[in-house]
Amino acid sequence: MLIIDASRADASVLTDVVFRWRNLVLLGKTLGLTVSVLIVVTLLALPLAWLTTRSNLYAARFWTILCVMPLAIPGYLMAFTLLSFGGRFGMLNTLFGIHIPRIQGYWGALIALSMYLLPYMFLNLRVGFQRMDPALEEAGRSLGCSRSHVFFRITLPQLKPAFAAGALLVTLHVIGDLGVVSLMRFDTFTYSIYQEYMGFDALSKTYAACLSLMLIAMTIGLLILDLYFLRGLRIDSVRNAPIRKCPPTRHKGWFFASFALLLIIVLVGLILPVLNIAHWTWRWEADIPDQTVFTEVFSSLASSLKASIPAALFAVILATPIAFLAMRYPSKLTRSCQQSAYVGYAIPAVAFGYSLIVLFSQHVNALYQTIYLLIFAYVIHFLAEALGPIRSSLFLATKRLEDASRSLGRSRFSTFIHVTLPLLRPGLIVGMAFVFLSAMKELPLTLLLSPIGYETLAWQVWSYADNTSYAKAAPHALAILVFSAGFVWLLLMRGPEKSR
Amino acid sequence: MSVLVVNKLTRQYRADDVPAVDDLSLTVETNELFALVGPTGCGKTTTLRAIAGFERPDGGVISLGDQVLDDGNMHIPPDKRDIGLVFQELALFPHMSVNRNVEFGLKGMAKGARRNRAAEVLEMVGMSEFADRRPHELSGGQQQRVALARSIAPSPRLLLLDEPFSSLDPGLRDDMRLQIKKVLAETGTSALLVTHDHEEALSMADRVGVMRLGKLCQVGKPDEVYHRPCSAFVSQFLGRTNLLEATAVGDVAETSIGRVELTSESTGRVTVSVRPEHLRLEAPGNGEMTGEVIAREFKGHDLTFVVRYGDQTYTVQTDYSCPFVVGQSVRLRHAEPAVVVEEDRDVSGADC
Repeated sequence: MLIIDASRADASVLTDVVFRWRNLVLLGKTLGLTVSVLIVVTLLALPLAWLTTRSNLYAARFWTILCVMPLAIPGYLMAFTLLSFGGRFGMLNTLFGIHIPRIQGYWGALIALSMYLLPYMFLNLRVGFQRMDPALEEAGRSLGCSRSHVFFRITLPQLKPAFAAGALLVTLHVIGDLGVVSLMRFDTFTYSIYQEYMGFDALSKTYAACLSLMLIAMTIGLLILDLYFLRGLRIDSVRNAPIRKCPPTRHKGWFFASFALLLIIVLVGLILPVLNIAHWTWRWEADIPDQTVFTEVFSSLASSLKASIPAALFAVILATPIAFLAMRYPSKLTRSCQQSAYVGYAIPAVAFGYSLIVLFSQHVNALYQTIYLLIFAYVIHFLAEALGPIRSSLFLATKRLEDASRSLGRSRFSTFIHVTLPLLRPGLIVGMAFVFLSAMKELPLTLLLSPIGYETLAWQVWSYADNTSYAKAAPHALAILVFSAGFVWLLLMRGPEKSR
Repeated sequence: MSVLVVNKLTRQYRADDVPAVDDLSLTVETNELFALVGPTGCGKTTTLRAIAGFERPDGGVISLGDQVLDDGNMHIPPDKRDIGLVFQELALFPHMSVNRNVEFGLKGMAKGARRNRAAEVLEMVGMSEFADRRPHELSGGQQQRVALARSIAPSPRLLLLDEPFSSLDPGLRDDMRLQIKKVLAETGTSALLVTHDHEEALSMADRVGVMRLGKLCQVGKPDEVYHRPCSAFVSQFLGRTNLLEATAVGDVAETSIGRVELTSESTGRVTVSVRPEHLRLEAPGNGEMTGEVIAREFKGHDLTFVVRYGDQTYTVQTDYSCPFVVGQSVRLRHAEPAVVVEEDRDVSGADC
């Protein structure tokens, strides 16, 4: 559909658009940001994962939860926090009289994205450390290698798949992010697509389509690269015995260093944003003695719910047969059905949203600019989040149990009602909750697809923060924070399986 | 009277493959425990699943009592067959208590009757006090008992047991075998047991059917099948044996260990099977052909010797008191008549 739109332009214009100098700059900026976020996130997550799994860190479980908590703060809330923290009217200056420049641009985007995405890498590396067979390290030591030698030659190579999984998630989020880069005014593909889309002349729409295509191509390239990287990578230990827990390493000398690291992460990633949002919510009272803000928060909350609840329901209704068929009747068709759900998740929301705009505004005009299109976009984009929990509960509701029920004289229908459904229920509920909470805080699709005058919580935070009306953004941000915290709580309840 | 009659059952998963079950016929009589035994992949589980109604046969007839369950046109679904099944994986419903698991198959009954019946079968397997537990709170052996109780609760006309002991510790197995025999006898249930463990089949069943490559090779009482195997495969699968090349004349044959008696008359080149426990070791007399003991395994209650005789080796099972040691010269003597067995074609690796 994007191709059609792009091809409508004439060939010379098209080559002009595709081979613009600006594209190279955009590509450079997007990749530069991605690589630097990846480096920062890895440098922080690796020691954190090691500390919480392998060392004698006091209250490791508590610190683990704290390190995962920044997931509750979507990138644009983090960006909002950084923007409203420094500067002349920032929290730091008004509260403590300390003046620092406003944090924005490349550095702002880097810090906001790194903090937000750190948990993805952290959770993956943690699982990597936990699954490692300690006998391999012990074998290394017994063959005369020093501890650091063993770490670099044996431990790190085994972390490769975990790193690849984490890096893929981080990269997809960075190149798909719109909230942070737009608030920080840092030009990447997504931000340019949005700007071109908001532009009015005909050429800018074509340009947006081209940029979207390039972004999708980049994503697909990345997925292929990931497959290539993982191929032939075999690191599981050659034995089937259950893996022992690794004895913790003592690290007396590093106590303060590791404590400081943990403290900084928790301070910047968690305490600061929460304090900041609280501060600005309180400031709103003082600055704008206008009661409409409360009603505004409630009306945008209602808008958010109106799209998120149906999205969650439909996602589960769609995901259940897909997961069921792929597991019970594995064939090329059913598997590719399931794979396409994951591709829908990986395609950057901006490019996906823009392609829906093109498709619907030209071919299904009746639905364009309606809430139905927004719900449809949410369902397709977040389908994979519903698939995960449903798939893992399907592992419990095995074919054997259904056979057992049939052999005890129950019909197909009775079996489904009494055996399959009760076993599937937790997965359905969790899947629904994931999609609901993700849709509540989703930004790019909402910005692109919501009907005029339809303002969700995320939309409000973004547009107020974009206008530097921080006090007005804060109560909406607070509402999102509550829903996000629910999301993370669910994630923690379910353990690290989702991050695999 | 036959409870179950399977006639010329065929099941072929893919058109160009060899059939998983090939023209198989068997019957299970009233109050009988019939064991279907064979190596992995011989088609015994497919047969069981076809009888239960989970596989649709490509040919043949399955009938239970006077009701036809499967023929070319008809297929009674599993829930209408009145056949119980104990799964290899047990398949207890994890979201229900023991009691509700057992009551699950009793849906046609009034509530009080259902409760009584569940209590009755749980009592029978000795699990009354665990009625309110969840399956994951039970040990492997206890789960096994619940699975058994659940499948006999609706009083099925036939009970199918699919490798029911494979998930248990060896120590528990003997106990469970006795328990199942007891419950089957008490309830007067006919049963079909599928297993790859020949000792399990021989010790539990009233009759045994040995399967290989989708076909039933031999059916009979356990001692009959063990002592009179019809083929080299059956004799090897049901225990250790010595297969000897022989030239038969009437009811005797010349072999590499000398002249042996035969259980039946035969002529020409044949293969005979001699069980290790049917051989004796003796000190050689003068001028006789001798063998040499090359291994001796002491197992407490008995001894196993490996003897080289010419260019062949033989296994001999003796009681614990046999005095020979490795390196000694001995003479082999057979104590029972040998059995002439058919050579198997396509033996090479095909049966696994």
